[in-house]
Amino acid sequence: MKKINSVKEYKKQIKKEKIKIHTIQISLGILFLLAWEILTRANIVNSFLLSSPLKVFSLFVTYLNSGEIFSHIYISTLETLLGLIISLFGGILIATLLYLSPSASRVLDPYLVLLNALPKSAIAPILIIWLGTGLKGIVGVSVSFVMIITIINVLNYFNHVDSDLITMMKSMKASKLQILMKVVFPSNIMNILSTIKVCIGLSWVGVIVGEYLSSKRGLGYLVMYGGQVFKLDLVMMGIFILAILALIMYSVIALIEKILKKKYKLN
Amino acid sequence: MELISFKNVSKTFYNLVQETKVLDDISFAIHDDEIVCLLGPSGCGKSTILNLINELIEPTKGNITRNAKLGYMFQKDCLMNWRNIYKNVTIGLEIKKDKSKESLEYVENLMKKYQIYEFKSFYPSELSGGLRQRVSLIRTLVLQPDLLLLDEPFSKLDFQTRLMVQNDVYNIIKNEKKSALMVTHDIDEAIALSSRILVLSSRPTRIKEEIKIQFDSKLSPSERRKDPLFSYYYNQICKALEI
Repeated sequence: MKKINSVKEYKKQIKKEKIKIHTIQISLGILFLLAWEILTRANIVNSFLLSSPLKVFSLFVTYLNSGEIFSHIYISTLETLLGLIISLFGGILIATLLYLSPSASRVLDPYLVLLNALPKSAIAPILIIWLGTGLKGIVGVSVSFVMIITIINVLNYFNHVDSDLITMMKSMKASKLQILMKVVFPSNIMNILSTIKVCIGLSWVGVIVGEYLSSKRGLGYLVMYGGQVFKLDLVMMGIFILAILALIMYSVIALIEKILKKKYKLN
Repeated sequence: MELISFKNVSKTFYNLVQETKVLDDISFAIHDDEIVCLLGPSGCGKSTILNLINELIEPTKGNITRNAKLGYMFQKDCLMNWRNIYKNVTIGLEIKKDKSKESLEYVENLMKKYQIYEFKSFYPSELSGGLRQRVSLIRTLVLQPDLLLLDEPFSKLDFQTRLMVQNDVYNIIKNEKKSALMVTHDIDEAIALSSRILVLSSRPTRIKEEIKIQFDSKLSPSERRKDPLFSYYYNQICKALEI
């Protein structure tokens, strides 16, 4: 290890480290794709079952040129975002009500645990029947995946707010609502953001499950259709696009986190 | 004038397994312009007394009369790290929905007088422990209390910072002509700051002895520590605590 003698050198060191990590990360990805391509071309692995990066890419270009891909991306993203937003607002609202009423929270606790433990995909068909096969049904499935865990997580965060802060507010004669608005909510912004990060993935799962069950458009539909007709290029392309979309959403939240941390001078 | 008085107050806590008698027949009063210290071993019910004063709990027996506006200062500074210093200091006014010009001017003057105005747009994480504790005291003073309740306010600070903050808090209390009731298990701290010490027994807590502390009024807490009288009081308290 080189000795560090100034802030400038320290910053340089950190930057170097960062570049190193990024380089390795990117090369790892490229290496994976390259190996995949080579192995399928050399017929070491079955290219029918595994497709290949170039095949997937050329299929993507076709879909891009026809413009068809955009309607699939649009509908799935819309469903995911709707599911996410409805679950978050609903979840935080319910968590708030339960926080304000500990007795209700105790009464409902086993039901929450039950609903959380239940495999949500089992109730997806019912939701589709109730809400219809279109956007509503799929968003409903997504909400069923995300809402319960949001309630449980957020309620847990609310119940673990620094009790000294609450005593301080009470000693200043703050009302319950004031404690909620001035301490409980703002002290949990970061926690809620990290809950959103988890929920993004879950919301996508819900949407894909919904689309598997009934849909004519969307990335879940593409993957499902591709599987049924053994077009594994299509399946792989759908999965790639899903991964990238989920990553973009995740990054947006990570960026907000970073901005807030900088604002409050944390770390 | 009596700001607070306890008359034969007892407090018993109940849970599923047992009842715990924490306070047993406690009587005392706090008057204008004095700093009274409740000194006793940990777990002896000092915080229970503060909670009783602050009406967070009810006494099992006895009477408590309050003729004072109370201000609380805690072990932790309890600053909210998502609010800047100014917004932390004015939280009390925000709770009261007090936006009057006089109050805001009072805040500004206090902040200027005790040199935290220059940090008003800083966030708590940028301040040192000592400064944070000062901000926490100013936040309490903004509501213009007559009696400050100090709950081991220095115990989370390292020794040097503690000496500095003790001087700080003492000066501010004297300057603003406030009374204070401080709770601590630190004998040095009690002698350095207070004008009267109530020595408490372990549970169930009674007042064992009342000791008047009389130093030259010009002495700061750290100067008191160097005064010959200091060790005299120290011995007296040790005797009362049976150490």
